[in-house]
Amino acid sequence: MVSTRKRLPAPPQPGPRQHLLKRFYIPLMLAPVVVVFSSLFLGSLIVALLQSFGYAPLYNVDEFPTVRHYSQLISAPGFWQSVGLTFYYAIVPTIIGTAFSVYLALALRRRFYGKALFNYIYKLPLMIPYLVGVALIILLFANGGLIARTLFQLGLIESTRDFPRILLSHGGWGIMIVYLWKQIPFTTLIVFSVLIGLGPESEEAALTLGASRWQTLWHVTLPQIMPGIVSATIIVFAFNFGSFEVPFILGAKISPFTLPVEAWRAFDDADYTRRLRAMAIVMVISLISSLLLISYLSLYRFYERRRGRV
Amino acid sequence: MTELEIDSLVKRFDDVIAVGGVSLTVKAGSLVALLGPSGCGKTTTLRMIAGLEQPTAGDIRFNGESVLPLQPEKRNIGMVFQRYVLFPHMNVAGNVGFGLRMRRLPKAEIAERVREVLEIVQLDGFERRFPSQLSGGQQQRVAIARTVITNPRVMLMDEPLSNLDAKLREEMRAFITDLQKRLQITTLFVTHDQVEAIELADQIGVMFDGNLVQFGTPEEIFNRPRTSRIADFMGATNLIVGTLERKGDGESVLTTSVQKLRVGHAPPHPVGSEVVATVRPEHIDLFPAAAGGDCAENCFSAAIEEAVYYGGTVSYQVRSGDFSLQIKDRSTRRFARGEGVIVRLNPENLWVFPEVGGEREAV
Ligand SMILES: Nc1ncnc2c1ncn2[C@@H]1O[C@H](COP(=O)(O)OP(=O)(O)OP(=O)(O)O)[C@@H](O)[C@H]1O
Ligand SMILES: [Mg+2]
Repeated sequence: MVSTRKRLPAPPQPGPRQHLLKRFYIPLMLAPVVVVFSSLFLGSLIVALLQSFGYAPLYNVDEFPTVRHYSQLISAPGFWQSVGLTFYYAIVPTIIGTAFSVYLALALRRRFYGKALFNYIYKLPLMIPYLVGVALIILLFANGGLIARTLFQLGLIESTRDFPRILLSHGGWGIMIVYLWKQIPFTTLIVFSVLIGLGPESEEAALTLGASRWQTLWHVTLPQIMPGIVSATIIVFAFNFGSFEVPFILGAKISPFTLPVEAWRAFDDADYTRRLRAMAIVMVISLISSLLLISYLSLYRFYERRRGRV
Repeated sequence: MTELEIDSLVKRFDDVIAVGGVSLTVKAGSLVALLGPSGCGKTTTLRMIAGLEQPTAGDIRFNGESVLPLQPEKRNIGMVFQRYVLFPHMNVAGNVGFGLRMRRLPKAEIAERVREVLEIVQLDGFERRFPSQLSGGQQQRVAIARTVITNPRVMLMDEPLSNLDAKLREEMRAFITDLQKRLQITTLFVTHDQVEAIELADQIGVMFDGNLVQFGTPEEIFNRPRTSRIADFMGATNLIVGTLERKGDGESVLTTSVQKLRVGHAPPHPVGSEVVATVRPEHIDLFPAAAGGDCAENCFSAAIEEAVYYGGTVSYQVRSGDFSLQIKDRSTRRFARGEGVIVRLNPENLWVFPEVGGEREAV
């Protein structure tokens, strides 16, 4: 019998050039993204940083280095109130929204009448810009808005002025309603995907081991969907903390303002040199939110490590 | 100890009838294997017992009392899943102690019980490990430990060994039989592996297409399958068609196209009815053609059509007329393809199906 097997040629040995190519393959592929990203992000960050320390030849200012803009900012009356207000508008909707989204995501796993429709509708705000949400809130909740008028027509309030002030107040409910309107769908979508990926099995195992529904949620479901919840809250909080247009339009028109609104007011001032202060505010915002995110993440890592994940 | 009784249990998913009226009893402290091919409704049956699925009809009783009104967490069952389903965010001690923590037992008592149970499953010293740091066999032992610690009334196991490799599977099989005998937990064990069922179970229920088709001891199912389909599923692939006759002294004779065969036991079919008999491949004797003279009854000559050697046994396909039989021979003797042989069918090993015609549909 004749052997049909042929001798195989030796596999090509990687030459020195191939080695080099291999080593730099991924950096090269990433280069376009890295260049665009760093020039846009790092570039503007460096400009802002330099300006906040007094270097702005564009406005004929060169006091570099000075911390004057920072010290003036921090000692200005109402600065800490601004910080507090920014936190308040960022944290409250994040907490309320997350709790509500987890509840919604859990409910969405069950069968109920009209689920298909609901499943479609709840995602709509994700596709609609914030500004539309702002407009909706004004239409509905302003003192001359639909709800106030309806209540007046029904004779429940004596005049539309008696409708509680939701917009343009430091209570900020109008702002927070817009955030919730947009962010509950977002967080729900993320948590729901994580829940679907998790599957029902570990919950079923918990039930057969004698855990009540509530215990199962608390000890089995929530710990396992925590990564999704953490990512969603980080994104939502960071957005709320730096959001400008929503508090600008729906917030109170008297001091204190949130930090981003303060920054805009300084930037928009007729006096160009005030822009340096605006940059100082921008740097403070970035610093606070990165510090917060880092401590939140390390807290979360600590929690995960205690649970044996890395 | 608890007796588990399933009564005409039905489960319908929209247009699929997953379980079509299954009734069986697992005696207190015994182990019953539910054996059947994929998709026959084994998991669905277990899930209904666990309370994870609502039956469409029928009843499930523990010691005569229906558990249908009870939520899963109140049924006090233990379920071992095919894919272990350990809690990935808890270490071994956390997983094993889970059931007791949910029952709010004192911490010290839980720790003590966890230690005891881990010793039973030979995992002492693994308390701090997480599921991702365990082998498949170890994970499965944690899953078992996690359920036995709660003293379940009934233990439900859904193909717990199918994810393990052959050697480990054997070890775990022995381990489970041992544990079950020691703790005397009423157990329903699902598998599609006949060897596993025979080795583990006190009794076997065979399920096809949502129905329980035979229930009995492993010996009965193995040697006296009710239908040809069960025989086939149990690895008895040889079918012999013939007409039943009787001799004067009450002995039954099967007249086939090749040979008259005496059969040891035959169901009380009317004389002259066409029946199907089976004989397991490992129960057929083979002799060289030259030794023909020594063979007294149920012998006929045949030719080897095929011979395949598996470790320890040779699998032959022999033919005589329109008889084609599979034979597993454990002896050291070898027959070559085309060689003539004498085949003997021991009357004791010939089994006539109780149904006339032997339900030949699915062979
Ligand atoms: N939730 C469900 N919805 C619809 N049909 C289902 C559902 N669960 C199971 N079935 C169907 O019911 C039948 C029995 O399924 P089951 O899971 O009980 O089979 P099984 O015997 O456990 O099979 P396997 O050995 O493959 O695990 C199958 O036809 C399956 O497709
Ligand atoms: Mg199954």
